[in-house]
Amino acid sequence: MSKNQMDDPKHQSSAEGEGSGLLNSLPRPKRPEAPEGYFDEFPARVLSRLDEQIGAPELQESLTLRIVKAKWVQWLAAASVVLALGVAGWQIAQRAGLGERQDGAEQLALSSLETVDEHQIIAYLEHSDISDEDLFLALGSPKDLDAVWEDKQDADAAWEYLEENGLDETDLEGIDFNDLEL
Amino acid sequence: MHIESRDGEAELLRSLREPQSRERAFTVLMRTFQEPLYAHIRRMLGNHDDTDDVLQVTFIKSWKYLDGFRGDSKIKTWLFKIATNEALTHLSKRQNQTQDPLADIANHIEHSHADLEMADDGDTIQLKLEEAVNRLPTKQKQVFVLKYYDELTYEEMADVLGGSVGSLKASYHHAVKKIELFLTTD
Repeated sequence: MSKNQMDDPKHQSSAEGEGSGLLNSLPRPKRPEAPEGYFDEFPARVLSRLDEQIGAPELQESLTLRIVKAKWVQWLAAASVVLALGVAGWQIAQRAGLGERQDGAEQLALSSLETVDEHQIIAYLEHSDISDEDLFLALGSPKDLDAVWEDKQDADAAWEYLEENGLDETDLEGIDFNDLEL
Repeated sequence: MHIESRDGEAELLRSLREPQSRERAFTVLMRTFQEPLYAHIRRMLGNHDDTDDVLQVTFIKSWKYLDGFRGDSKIKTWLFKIATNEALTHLSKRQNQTQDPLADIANHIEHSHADLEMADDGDTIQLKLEEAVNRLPTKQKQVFVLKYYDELTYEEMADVLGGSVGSLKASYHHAVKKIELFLTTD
Protein backbone atom coordinates (compact mmCIF):
# COMPACT_ATOMS: atom_id res chain seq x y z
CA MET A 1 0.00 0.00 0.00
CA SER A 2 1.36 3.43 -0.91
CA LYS A 3 1.48 6.48 1.34
CA ASN A 4 -1.41 7.95 -0.62
CA GLN A 5 -3.47 4.87 -0.06
CA MET A 6 -2.77 5.02 3.67
CA ASP A 7 -3.97 8.62 3.83
CA ASP A 8 -7.05 7.82 1.75
CA PRO A 9 -10.22 7.58 3.85
CA LYS A 10 -11.44 4.74 1.61
CA HIS A 11 -8.71 2.62 3.11
CA GLN A 12 -9.74 3.50 6.67
CA SER A 13 -12.17 1.39 8.63
CA SER A 14 -14.96 3.25 10.37
CA ALA A 15 -15.04 0.80 13.25
CA GLU A 16 -13.56 1.80 16.60
CA GLY A 17 -11.49 -0.29 18.94
CA GLU A 18 -8.13 -1.97 18.72
CA GLY A 19 -8.84 -4.87 16.32
CA SER A 20 -5.19 -5.86 15.85
CA GLY A 21 -5.17 -9.60 15.21
CA LEU A 22 -2.08 -9.63 13.02
CA LEU A 23 -0.17 -7.23 15.22
CA ASN A 24 -0.99 -9.26 18.31
CA SER A 25 0.50 -12.31 16.68
CA LEU A 26 3.82 -10.52 16.11
CA PRO A 27 6.61 -10.78 18.68
CA ARG A 28 6.86 -7.70 20.89
CA PRO A 29 9.09 -5.11 19.23
CA LYS A 30 12.54 -4.56 20.64
CA ARG A 31 13.37 -1.19 22.07
CA PRO A 32 15.73 0.83 19.90
CA GLU A 33 19.22 0.31 21.23
CA ALA A 34 21.44 3.14 22.42
CA PRO A 35 25.24 2.93 22.33
CA GLU A 36 26.76 0.96 25.19
CA GLY A 37 27.10 2.94 28.42
CA TYR A 38 24.90 5.74 27.10
CA PHE A 39 22.30 5.51 29.88
CA ASP A 40 24.98 5.26 32.59
CA GLU A 41 26.43 8.61 31.58
CA PHE A 42 23.29 10.37 30.50
CA PRO A 43 22.11 11.84 33.87
CA ALA A 44 25.55 13.33 34.58
CA ARG A 45 25.62 14.92 31.11
CA VAL A 46 22.24 16.54 31.67
CA LEU A 47 23.24 17.83 35.11
CA SER A 48 26.42 19.20 33.62
CA ARG A 49 24.46 21.06 30.95
CA LEU A 50 22.11 22.43 33.57
CA ASP A 51 25.10 23.55 35.58
CA GLU A 52 26.51 25.39 32.55
CA GLN A 53 23.23 26.99 31.63
CA ILE A 54 21.78 28.08 34.95
CA GLY A 55 24.40 27.72 37.65
CA ALA A 56 24.90 25.01 40.20
CA PRO A 57 21.87 22.70 40.16
CA GLU A 58 21.47 22.73 43.93
CA LEU A 59 21.38 26.52 43.88
CA GLN A 60 19.18 26.63 40.85
CA GLU A 61 15.56 26.60 41.63
CA SER A 62 14.94 29.24 39.05
CA LEU A 63 15.98 31.73 41.72
CA THR A 64 15.09 34.82 39.73
CA LEU A 65 11.75 33.34 38.80
CA ARG A 66 11.01 32.48 42.43
CA ILE A 67 11.90 35.98 43.61
CA VAL A 68 9.71 37.54 40.98
CA LYS A 69 6.90 35.15 41.81
CA ALA A 70 7.20 35.69 45.58
CA LYS A 71 4.10 37.26 47.10
CA TRP A 72 6.06 39.66 49.29
CA VAL A 73 7.85 41.07 46.25
CA GLN A 74 4.54 41.60 44.51
CA TRP A 75 3.14 43.39 47.58
CA LEU A 76 6.31 45.46 47.91
CA ALA A 77 6.08 46.47 44.25
CA ALA A 78 2.44 47.48 44.70
CA ALA A 79 3.24 49.46 47.88
CA SER A 80 6.11 51.24 46.09
CA VAL A 81 3.81 52.33 43.31
CA VAL A 82 1.23 53.63 45.80
CA LEU A 83 3.94 55.49 47.72
CA ALA A 84 5.39 57.02 44.55
CA LEU A 85 1.93 58.16 43.46
CA GLY A 86 1.28 59.64 46.92
CA VAL A 87 4.55 61.61 46.90
CA ALA A 88 3.90 62.86 43.38
CA GLY A 89 0.38 63.93 44.35
CA TRP A 90 1.64 65.75 47.45
CA GLN A 91 4.27 67.60 45.44
CA ILE A 92 1.69 68.66 42.87
CA ALA A 93 -0.58 69.91 45.65
CA GLN A 94 2.31 71.85 47.21
CA ARG A 95 3.22 73.45 43.88
CA ALA A 96 -0.40 74.37 43.28
CA GLY A 97 -0.33 76.39 46.51
CA LEU A 98 -2.61 74.14 48.48
CA GLY A 99 -1.96 74.24 52.21
CA GLU A 100 -0.49 77.15 54.07
CA ARG A 101 2.31 75.43 55.82
CA GLN A 102 5.57 77.25 55.92
CA ASP A 103 8.48 75.64 54.26
CA GLY A 104 11.24 73.90 56.19
CA ALA A 105 13.62 76.91 56.25
CA GLU A 106 11.01 79.19 57.71
CA GLN A 107 10.06 76.70 60.35
CA LEU A 108 13.68 76.20 61.26
CA ALA A 109 14.27 79.95 61.56
CA LEU A 110 11.27 80.45 63.80
CA SER A 111 12.08 77.53 66.01
CA SER A 112 15.65 78.78 66.32
CA LEU A 113 14.48 82.24 67.29
CA GLU A 114 12.22 80.80 69.92
CA THR A 115 15.22 79.44 71.76
CA VAL A 116 16.85 82.89 72.01
CA ASP A 117 15.84 85.38 74.64
CA GLU A 118 13.57 88.05 73.19
CA HIS A 119 15.63 90.94 74.59
CA GLN A 120 18.76 89.63 73.07
CA ILE A 121 17.04 89.51 69.71
CA ILE A 122 15.87 93.09 70.05
CA ALA A 123 19.31 94.26 71.15
CA TYR A 124 20.87 92.43 68.24
CA LEU A 125 18.48 94.02 65.77
CA GLU A 126 19.18 97.49 67.09
CA HIS A 127 22.90 96.95 67.19
CA SER A 128 22.93 95.51 63.66
CA ASP A 129 20.56 98.13 62.34
CA ILE A 130 18.20 95.50 61.00
CA SER A 131 14.85 96.94 60.10
CA ASP A 132 11.45 95.52 60.80
CA GLU A 133 11.14 94.86 57.11
CA ASP A 134 14.29 92.77 57.15
CA LEU A 135 12.92 90.81 60.02
CA PHE A 136 9.64 90.40 58.19
CA LEU A 137 11.46 89.01 55.18
CA ALA A 138 13.45 86.70 57.40
CA LEU A 139 10.40 85.36 59.18
CA GLY A 140 7.90 85.73 56.43
CA SER A 141 4.84 86.14 58.61
CA PRO A 142 3.10 89.37 59.71
CA LYS A 143 1.90 87.56 62.79
CA ASP A 144 5.49 86.80 63.77
CA LEU A 145 6.50 90.39 63.05
CA ASP A 146 3.75 91.71 65.32
CA ALA A 147 5.03 89.57 68.14
CA VAL A 148 8.54 90.88 67.67
CA TRP A 149 7.27 94.42 67.33
CA GLU A 150 5.40 94.23 70.60
CA ASP A 151 8.50 92.96 72.31
CA LYS A 152 10.51 95.80 70.80
CA GLN A 153 8.01 98.34 72.14
CA ASP A 154 8.31 96.79 75.56
CA ALA A 155 12.07 96.94 75.32
CA ASP A 156 12.01 100.64 74.34
CA ALA A 157 9.81 101.34 77.30
CA ALA A 158 12.19 99.38 79.48
CA TRP A 159 15.16 101.51 78.36
CA GLU A 160 13.25 104.65 79.10
CA TYR A 161 12.43 103.32 82.51
CA LEU A 162 16.08 102.61 83.21
CA GLU A 163 17.16 106.04 82.10
CA GLU A 164 14.48 107.80 84.11
CA ASN A 165 15.38 105.94 87.23
CA GLY A 166 19.13 106.07 86.72
CA LEU A 167 19.43 102.36 86.66
CA ASP A 168 21.96 100.21 84.88
CA GLU A 169 21.06 97.40 82.48
CA THR A 170 22.45 94.88 84.90
CA ASP A 171 19.95 96.01 87.47
CA LEU A 172 17.27 94.41 85.33
CA GLU A 173 18.49 90.91 86.10
CA GLY A 174 15.90 88.98 88.04
CA ILE A 175 13.19 91.55 87.38
CA ASP A 176 9.94 90.33 85.92
CA PHE A 177 8.97 92.85 83.25
CA ASN A 178 5.34 91.91 83.60
CA ASP A 179 5.38 93.43 87.09
CA LEU A 180 6.77 96.74 85.93
CA GLU A 181 4.51 99.61 85.17
CA LEU A 182 5.96 100.81 81.93
CA MET B 1 12.08 4.49 45.35
CA HIS B 2 9.58 2.94 42.93
CA ILE B 3 8.28 6.14 41.48
CA GLU B 4 5.68 4.78 39.10
CA SER B 5 3.41 3.96 42.03
CA ARG B 6 1.16 6.76 43.31
CA ASP B 7 3.00 7.01 46.64
CA GLY B 8 6.38 6.82 44.96
CA GLU B 9 5.48 9.62 42.56
CA ALA B 10 4.20 11.84 45.38
CA GLU B 11 7.40 11.25 47.34
CA LEU B 12 9.51 12.04 44.28
CA LEU B 13 7.60 15.27 43.69
CA ARG B 14 8.18 16.31 47.30
CA SER B 15 11.90 15.63 46.91
CA LEU B 16 12.00 17.53 43.62
CA ARG B 17 10.51 20.58 45.31
CA GLU B 18 13.00 20.60 48.17
CA PRO B 19 16.20 22.45 47.17
CA GLN B 20 18.33 20.11 49.29
CA SER B 21 17.08 16.91 47.66
CA ARG B 22 16.23 18.25 44.24
CA GLU B 23 19.31 17.18 42.34
CA ARG B 24 19.29 13.65 43.77
CA ALA B 25 15.57 13.25 43.03
CA PHE B 26 16.06 14.56 39.51
CA THR B 27 18.75 11.96 38.91
CA VAL B 28 16.29 9.27 40.05
CA LEU B 29 13.72 10.72 37.65
CA MET B 30 16.17 10.58 34.74
CA ARG B 31 17.29 7.04 35.54
CA THR B 32 13.66 5.90 35.65
CA PHE B 33 12.44 7.46 32.42
CA GLN B 34 15.49 7.88 30.21
CA GLU B 35 15.12 4.52 28.46
CA PRO B 36 11.39 4.64 27.61
CA LEU B 37 11.74 8.27 26.54
CA TYR B 38 14.79 7.45 24.45
CA ALA B 39 12.86 4.69 22.68
CA HIS B 40 9.89 6.97 22.12
CA ILE B 41 11.98 9.80 20.66
CA ARG B 42 14.16 7.43 18.64
CA ARG B 43 11.10 5.95 16.96
CA MET B 44 10.00 9.44 16.00
CA LEU B 45 13.39 10.72 14.82
CA GLY B 46 15.09 7.57 13.59
CA ASN B 47 18.71 8.18 14.65
CA HIS B 48 20.70 8.26 17.86
CA ASP B 49 22.30 11.72 17.61
CA ASP B 50 19.03 13.59 17.16
CA THR B 51 17.44 11.43 19.84
CA ASP B 52 20.24 12.27 22.26
CA ASP B 53 19.78 16.02 21.66
CA VAL B 54 16.03 15.88 22.11
CA LEU B 55 16.22 13.66 25.19
CA GLN B 56 18.62 16.10 26.86
CA VAL B 57 16.37 19.03 25.99
CA THR B 58 13.38 17.11 27.36
CA PHE B 59 14.98 16.69 30.78
CA ILE B 60 16.42 20.21 30.84
CA LYS B 61 12.98 21.64 30.13
CA SER B 62 11.38 19.39 32.73
CA TRP B 63 13.88 20.74 35.31
CA LYS B 64 13.05 24.32 34.35
CA TYR B 65 9.30 23.78 34.40
CA LEU B 66 9.17 21.67 37.57
CA ASP B 67 7.77 24.60 39.54
CA GLY B 68 4.85 24.76 37.16
CA PHE B 69 4.07 21.04 37.30
CA ARG B 70 1.00 20.78 39.51
CA GLY B 71 0.72 17.01 39.53
CA ASP B 72 -2.60 16.94 37.68
CA SER B 73 -1.16 14.30 35.38
CA LYS B 74 1.46 11.65 36.07
CA ILE B 75 5.11 12.59 35.80
CA LYS B 76 5.49 9.93 33.14
CA THR B 77 2.85 11.42 30.83
CA TRP B 78 4.13 14.94 31.51
CA LEU B 79 7.60 13.86 30.37
CA PHE B 80 6.21 12.06 27.33
CA LYS B 81 4.34 15.21 26.39
CA ILE B 82 7.49 17.34 26.58
CA ALA B 83 9.43 14.71 24.64
CA THR B 84 6.76 14.41 21.94
CA ASN B 85 6.57 18.18 21.48
CA GLU B 86 10.34 18.50 21.35
CA ALA B 87 10.62 15.65 18.85
CA LEU B 88 7.95 17.24 16.63
CA THR B 89 9.73 20.59 16.83
CA HIS B 90 12.97 18.88 15.90
CA LEU B 91 11.32 17.10 12.97
CA SER B 92 9.85 20.37 11.77
CA LYS B 93 13.26 22.09 11.92
CA ARG B 94 14.87 19.18 10.14
CA GLN B 95 12.30 19.26 7.37
CA ASN B 96 12.72 23.03 7.00
CA GLN B 97 16.45 22.54 6.56
CA THR B 98 15.85 19.95 3.85
CA GLN B 99 15.02 21.27 0.38
CA ASP B 100 12.43 18.58 -0.16
CA PRO B 101 10.30 18.02 2.95
CA LEU B 102 9.60 14.43 1.93
CA ALA B 103 13.27 13.64 1.36
CA ASP B 104 13.81 12.92 5.04
CA ILE B 105 11.02 10.36 5.13
CA ALA B 106 12.17 8.86 1.83
CA ASN B 107 15.69 8.60 3.20
CA HIS B 108 14.39 6.85 6.30
CA ILE B 109 12.42 4.35 4.21
CA GLU B 110 15.39 3.76 1.95
CA HIS B 111 17.47 2.89 5.00
CA SER B 112 14.73 0.55 6.17
CA HIS B 113 14.89 -1.28 2.84
CA ALA B 114 18.66 -1.60 3.14
CA ASP B 115 18.28 -2.95 6.66
CA LEU B 116 15.58 -5.28 5.44
CA GLU B 117 17.93 -6.99 3.04
CA MET B 118 20.41 -7.74 5.83
CA ALA B 119 17.90 -8.73 8.50
CA ASP B 120 16.74 -12.21 9.54
CA ASP B 121 13.05 -13.16 9.55
CA GLY B 122 12.32 -11.77 13.04
CA ASP B 123 13.97 -8.47 12.28
CA THR B 124 12.41 -8.36 8.82
CA ILE B 125 8.89 -8.17 10.11
CA GLN B 126 9.87 -5.50 12.64
CA LEU B 127 11.54 -3.41 9.96
CA LYS B 128 8.51 -3.81 7.73
CA LEU B 129 6.34 -2.74 10.64
CA GLU B 130 8.56 0.28 11.17
CA GLU B 131 8.22 1.21 7.51
CA ALA B 132 4.44 0.89 7.72
CA VAL B 133 4.40 3.12 10.80
CA ASN B 134 6.50 5.75 9.04
CA ARG B 135 3.92 5.90 6.25
CA LEU B 136 1.09 6.77 8.65
CA PRO B 137 -0.26 10.34 8.94
CA THR B 138 1.38 12.19 11.83
CA LYS B 139 -1.51 11.96 14.28
CA GLN B 140 -2.08 8.23 13.70
CA LYS B 141 1.64 7.62 13.91
CA GLN B 142 1.87 9.37 17.28
CA VAL B 143 -1.09 7.42 18.62
CA PHE B 144 0.24 4.11 17.33
CA VAL B 145 3.74 4.67 18.70
CA LEU B 146 2.48 5.66 22.14
CA LYS B 147 0.09 2.69 22.32
CA TYR B 148 1.91 -0.11 20.61
CA TYR B 149 5.56 0.62 21.39
CA ASP B 150 5.42 2.79 24.51
CA GLU B 151 2.43 0.90 25.96
CA LEU B 152 0.67 3.94 27.35
CA THR B 153 -2.98 3.60 28.30
CA TYR B 154 -5.53 5.64 26.38
CA GLU B 155 -5.96 7.88 29.43
CA GLU B 156 -2.23 8.52 29.51
CA MET B 157 -2.22 9.16 25.78
CA ALA B 158 -5.01 11.71 26.23
CA ASP B 159 -2.75 13.55 28.70
CA VAL B 160 0.14 13.50 26.25
CA LEU B 161 -1.63 14.28 22.99
CA GLY B 162 -4.87 15.87 24.13
CA GLY B 163 -8.23 14.82 22.74
CA SER B 164 -10.71 12.27 24.02
CA VAL B 165 -10.10 8.61 24.72
CA GLY B 166 -12.71 7.74 22.07
CA SER B 167 -10.96 9.68 19.31
CA LEU B 168 -7.62 8.14 20.30
CA LYS B 169 -9.13 4.64 20.08
CA ALA B 170 -10.47 5.44 16.63
CA SER B 171 -7.09 6.79 15.49
CA TYR B 172 -5.33 3.70 16.79
CA HIS B 173 -7.83 1.42 15.07
CA HIS B 174 -7.32 3.19 11.72
CA ALA B 175 -3.56 3.01 12.15
CA VAL B 176 -3.66 -0.72 12.90
CA LYS B 177 -5.83 -1.44 9.87
CA LYS B 178 -3.46 0.42 7.56
CA ILE B 179 -0.42 -1.31 9.02
CA GLU B 180 -1.98 -4.76 8.71
CA LEU B 181 -2.93 -4.04 5.13
CA PHE B 182 0.62 -2.94 4.40
CA LEU B 183 2.13 -6.03 6.03
CA THR B 184 -0.13 -8.48 4.19
CA THR B 185 -0.13 -6.93 0.73
CA ASP B 186 3.35 -5.48 0.26
